[in-house]
Amino acid sequence: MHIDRYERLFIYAAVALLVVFMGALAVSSFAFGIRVPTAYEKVDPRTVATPPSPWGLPAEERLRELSPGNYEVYLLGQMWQFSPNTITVPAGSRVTFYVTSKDVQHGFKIAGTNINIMALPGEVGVLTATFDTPGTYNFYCHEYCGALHHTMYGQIVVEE
Amino acid sequence: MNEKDKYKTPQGTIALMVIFVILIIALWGSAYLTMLSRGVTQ
Amino acid sequence: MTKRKAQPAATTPAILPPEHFKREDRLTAWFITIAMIALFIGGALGPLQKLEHVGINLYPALAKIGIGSVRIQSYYQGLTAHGVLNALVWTTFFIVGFFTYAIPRSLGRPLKQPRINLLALVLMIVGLVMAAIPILTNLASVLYTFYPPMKASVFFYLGLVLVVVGSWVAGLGYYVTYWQWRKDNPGQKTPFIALAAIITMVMWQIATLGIAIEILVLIIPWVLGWTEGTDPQLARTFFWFTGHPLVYFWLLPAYVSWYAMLPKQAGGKMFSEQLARLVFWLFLVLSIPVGLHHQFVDPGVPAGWKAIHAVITYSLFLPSMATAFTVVASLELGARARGGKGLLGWIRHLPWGNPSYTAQNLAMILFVFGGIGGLTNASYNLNLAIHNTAWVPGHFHLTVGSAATLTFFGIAYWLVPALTNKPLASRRAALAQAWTWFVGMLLMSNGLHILGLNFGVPRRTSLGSAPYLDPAWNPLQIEAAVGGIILGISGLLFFGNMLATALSRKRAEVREEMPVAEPLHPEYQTPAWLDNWRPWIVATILLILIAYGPVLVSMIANINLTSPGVQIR
Repeated sequence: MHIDRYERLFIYAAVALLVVFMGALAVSSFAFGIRVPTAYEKVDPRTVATPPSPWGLPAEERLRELSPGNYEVYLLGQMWQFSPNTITVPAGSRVTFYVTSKDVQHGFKIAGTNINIMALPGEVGVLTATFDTPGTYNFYCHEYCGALHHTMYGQIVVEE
Repeated sequence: MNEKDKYKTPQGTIALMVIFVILIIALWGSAYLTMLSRGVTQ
Repeated sequence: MTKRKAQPAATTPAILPPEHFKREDRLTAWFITIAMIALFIGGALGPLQKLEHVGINLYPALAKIGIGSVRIQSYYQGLTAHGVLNALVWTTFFIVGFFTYAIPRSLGRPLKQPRINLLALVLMIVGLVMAAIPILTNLASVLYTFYPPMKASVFFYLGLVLVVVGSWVAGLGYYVTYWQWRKDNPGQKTPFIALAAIITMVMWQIATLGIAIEILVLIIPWVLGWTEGTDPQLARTFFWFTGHPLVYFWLLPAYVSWYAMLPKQAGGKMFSEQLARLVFWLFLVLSIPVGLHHQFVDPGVPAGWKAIHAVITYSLFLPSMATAFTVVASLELGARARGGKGLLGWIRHLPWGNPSYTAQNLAMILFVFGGIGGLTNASYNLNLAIHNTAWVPGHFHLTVGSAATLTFFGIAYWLVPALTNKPLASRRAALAQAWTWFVGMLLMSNGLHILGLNFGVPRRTSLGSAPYLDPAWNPLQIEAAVGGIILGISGLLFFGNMLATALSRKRAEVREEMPVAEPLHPEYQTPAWLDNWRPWIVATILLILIAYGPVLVSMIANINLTSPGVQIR
């Protein structure tokens, strides 16, 4: 099969470019720690929002401080308000989000961070973020989930 | 189309492809740096 | 298939006169007309969506238009119609129409069994109506991805199945004709346009198994109440098994025109016909085992398999890079043959006065940015920054909205005159349409990309009525809305021109015919492996088993049918 010399060179350059890009992604993921969610655990959406399930606790108890500056929050997606929808932590806190849904698919993205997870009934999505700079970070439902999908959002308030 | 042109690789195409590669690096790179600036997820 | 050595085609045989293709052309006319009606309705909703984002909400007014419960009552019902009519109906009907026209001419023989393709048309029309009624009566406002556990009317799903099955039947009509051609021409190399089109249909047929399983196994029994619940993660995985090759089903017909027709329209030749064949075979093999790159942030998919699909998706970028080089080289040959000089001075000598050419060249320029955006989406953890944000509609309005749709407009500018044997009503309106589409898309997609990446603005959302609407978004929202308005005007220019062409009583002096580019080097022997289906089909199936087998087996083993779901009103 005949390929033009310059075209062959161009394809080799493209391969090299893609290999460099993949290297950069591998470094950012494995060395730097910007990772995509991975399989965690299955739950039953019909009972996920009732005790003893951790998402069954009252909203204000679902943000817990495991150790100084180290938090976890069991976030429940539901038509059409996250619960809890306001999360307050001091600056420098490291927060692990356990996200699921009790009705249909929702999305969960914290603006200004790399936290981006689909909230699917029956599944649990887990990512962790560190909030160093004080301020208010909105998190949005970014997957259509019905008539009032556009009202579904919450805030992370990072205090001094 | 005379004989010579028939086998010479079109120079304009090479120039446009160089621009294309530069665009890829610039645009992909800016998205990559934006991601890096947003912090870790574990 | 008999083992034989492929001969170089002496020169591409002249196309048979249209009398040989009467039934094919009538079928094509039906497909193209329905496609354009779908795009007219679906497209008209686009500007409304962008206006809503800048606070101009025309949906209450729109809700007044309609008969009984057949009306658009909400932003999300409109968005469902916009997605289904544009991304599924306009594309599938136009592609099947274009192939019904092109394959017989490329093979130099009419369809062996036109009744098969007539059945395809009937199935697709019945499916379209069956899916459209629930959408227009707000019983299926679940968007074109219809993710369970959202529940829509069962007829919506049955309609989609019929449209897909109809496209399979259309494929069958092509395969039967192609089989007969091979028997009558032992050892003859398959003409490029026919081969590329049939490869596209075979890839589509294998790919749609995912959506067929999702609907027939995980959705219809659950919607009818035969099962307690469904498994949203498994359903999504079957959907995106089809979802990504779906975008190559949209793109490859445009590549058929860019590779094999546009160079002829520009006075050039196919720079490398062999590489073009290899590119289409590579798309058959690589289009399907990549679907997890739509699920990088899904909670139930192991990160390791997401990484494997990211790597395979990266390999998919190479056939497109080769296409960029080969197509631009083919066009440069034409421009130089028409007197073009200098490193880039030849660009002025391309046939910019021919709207069919201009629309497709502008589509290619937009696709440069669409392709780079696609590479960014597929870049594993880079997806965290942009998944489900406004960046994504910014991306796909450059790919399916421009690379495919604007190219289909360019094809229509010779195909509709060819079908009706009437001159294009207005060449200038067609040129204006191509350029307004180009400018409109640049503005809209620029705004959407930046809104998504920099501000994390969510997609698929009536932002105008969102409590979290941020004034900082306004400049970019306005830019995108202006782009949307320009696209609306461009759409009117297209439909007006098409209608005027169809209704005019003038007859064309010279009958428009399908442009077919000659290979630059007919003397190069096409190796047999570029014209033999078996190795490529085996590779396709093997790669799907490797990339999807373990993931699907483990998901099915841990199937979690516990989501009762919610009926969407």
